[in-house]
Amino acid sequence: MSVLKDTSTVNEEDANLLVLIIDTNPIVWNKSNFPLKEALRHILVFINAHLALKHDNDVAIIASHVGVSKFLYPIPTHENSDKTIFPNMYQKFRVIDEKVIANMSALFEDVDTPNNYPDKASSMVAGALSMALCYINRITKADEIGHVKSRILIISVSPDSPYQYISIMNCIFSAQKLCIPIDVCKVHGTDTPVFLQQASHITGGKSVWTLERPVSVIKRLSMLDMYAQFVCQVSLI
Amino acid sequence: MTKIVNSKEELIDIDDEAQNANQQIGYAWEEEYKRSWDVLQEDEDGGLKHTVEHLQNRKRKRLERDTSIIKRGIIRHMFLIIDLSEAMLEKDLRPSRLDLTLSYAEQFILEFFDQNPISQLGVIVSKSGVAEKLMGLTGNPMDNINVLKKRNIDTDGEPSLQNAHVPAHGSREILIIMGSLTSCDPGDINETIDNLVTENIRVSIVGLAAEVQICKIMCKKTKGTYGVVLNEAHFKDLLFEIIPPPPVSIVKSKSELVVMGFPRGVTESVPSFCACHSKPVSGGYLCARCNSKICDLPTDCPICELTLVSSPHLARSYHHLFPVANFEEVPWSSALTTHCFSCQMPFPTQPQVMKGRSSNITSIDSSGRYNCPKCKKHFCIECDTFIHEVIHNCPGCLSSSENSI
Repeated sequence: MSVLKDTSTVNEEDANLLVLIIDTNPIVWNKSNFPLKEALRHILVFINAHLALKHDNDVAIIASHVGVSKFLYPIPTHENSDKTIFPNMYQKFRVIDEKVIANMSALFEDVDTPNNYPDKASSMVAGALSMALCYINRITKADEIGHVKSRILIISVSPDSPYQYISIMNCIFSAQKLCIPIDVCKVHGTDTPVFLQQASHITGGKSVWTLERPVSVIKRLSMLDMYAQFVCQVSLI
Repeated sequence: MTKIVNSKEELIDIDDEAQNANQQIGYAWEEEYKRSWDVLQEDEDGGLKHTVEHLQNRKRKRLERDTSIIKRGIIRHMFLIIDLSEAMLEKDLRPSRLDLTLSYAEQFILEFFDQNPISQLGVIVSKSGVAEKLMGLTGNPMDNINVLKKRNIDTDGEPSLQNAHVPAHGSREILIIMGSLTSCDPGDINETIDNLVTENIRVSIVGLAAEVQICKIMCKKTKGTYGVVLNEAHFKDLLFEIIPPPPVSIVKSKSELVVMGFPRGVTESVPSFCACHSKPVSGGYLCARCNSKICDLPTDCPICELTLVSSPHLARSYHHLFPVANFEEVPWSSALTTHCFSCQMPFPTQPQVMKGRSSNITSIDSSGRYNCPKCKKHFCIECDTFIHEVIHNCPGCLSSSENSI
């Protein structure tokens, strides 16, 4: 229908902000033959690779759980305790890895919230998307030079929840207006997620469905990431 | 002071006046010489931070909008009537009333189609006592905009309210932008007003000069809104107030079933002609009823007249039906959170000394936290504006298990 402007121009000085939304529904992850712990290892390596590509690259991680969605990183805390320097590892990688694992464990320890939520097969993708958009909005407003390009990547396992249709569509249209592509990677599950497919189609992102060998998830994610950063793309609706 | 009469017969103060307490601002044409640099005032450290926050708070106040869940007309047929008489050449709104009107009209058209994708808009201009239809009802915003750009601006004579004609189908509205204070009409204007009421057409008028009695009566009877602009920003606000779909009056509406088609998209290796422009294209959509090829959605099929849309177009209008509740400001006594729920921005802490300081403190009086009445989470002002204007979802309500639509 109409052609959007270039979502990412090939500009060497651009910093990339990647907001990663991880679907952490424990019931669905249990059913897959690719456990969450293993997947998390791959995802952390992918995040480190994204940060390593450029000095300014940044990342934010949101967990979309049953009945609740929360930021895993960055969380502003008042502790100054993490000042130990690990000589064998890049400091930023270490900090992110530790924080993500610690916050995710805290998230899983709280069993009351998932128990109280009626629809246990889905996760709060709409809430996570809204938080991601607000965060991107804040970073874009705070960035005076205007060289931060943002993207959202959703790693999803659970099926769509029909209750969230209107909310997800609102988020998709906002992302389209702000030119934020939404990439989707569905790690496990045989049914095609209709809402997320629309999300990636409308916003001009890429999507990867049902990997044959889930251990290749890093390879696929890295391809998505690098494609988005270094290839000029023009989105068509 | 002017008042807007809306469908519920309430009088709403235009809040610009309350905010400009230090400066008496009247109509744009009352001022002789505008000194826009006087608005900026530095605080004692030489910074502009408080002025900026003050402006942001004012902007936030403008967003108090109607959040009741009621039936609204989503499929709208609207005609935009622009007055091209001599009065439009006045320069009280910069650069001139006409230029400003045309540029705002373009923005209005784009925003209108963004918020109401399945509606149609036409443009009529009125000058020298005659009205001329520039563009019939169409779903394509670019047609309307191109036509406005090509318009030859020669104005003379007086406009006519009566000669603007509207077709009789759909949920019908008229928006008139009037710069002059008079209207010369061939017949009886009251008869026209009665016709409008019987045909269920809603008329809204944005006046650029002063309040005109006949306009006020027309809007009141047809349940539209009438506003007179104070300055450029206010003009834009008044225009954009028409964009959200209006409530449907209970008496006249009966639930109807509307036939719509959801066409399939096709791509072909060999181009074939499309039914709408007779141009060869290799991709398009096939009408659900007659299988003729269409280039673009949403549109009416040129062969079988079926309304064709795709589901995202319908979904774009849903947020009007389920608006987000207005957020309330949190006083310092309940300001216990440290950072915004959705963007993790840290909130200001309560300043220790609050007595004995002068007016610089007025913008720090607000704790910077805004509370959603349903989920009770705190948000910063940026997120508040963003949530109400762009996303139309509250992240707090979506992230907690008690609330679902």
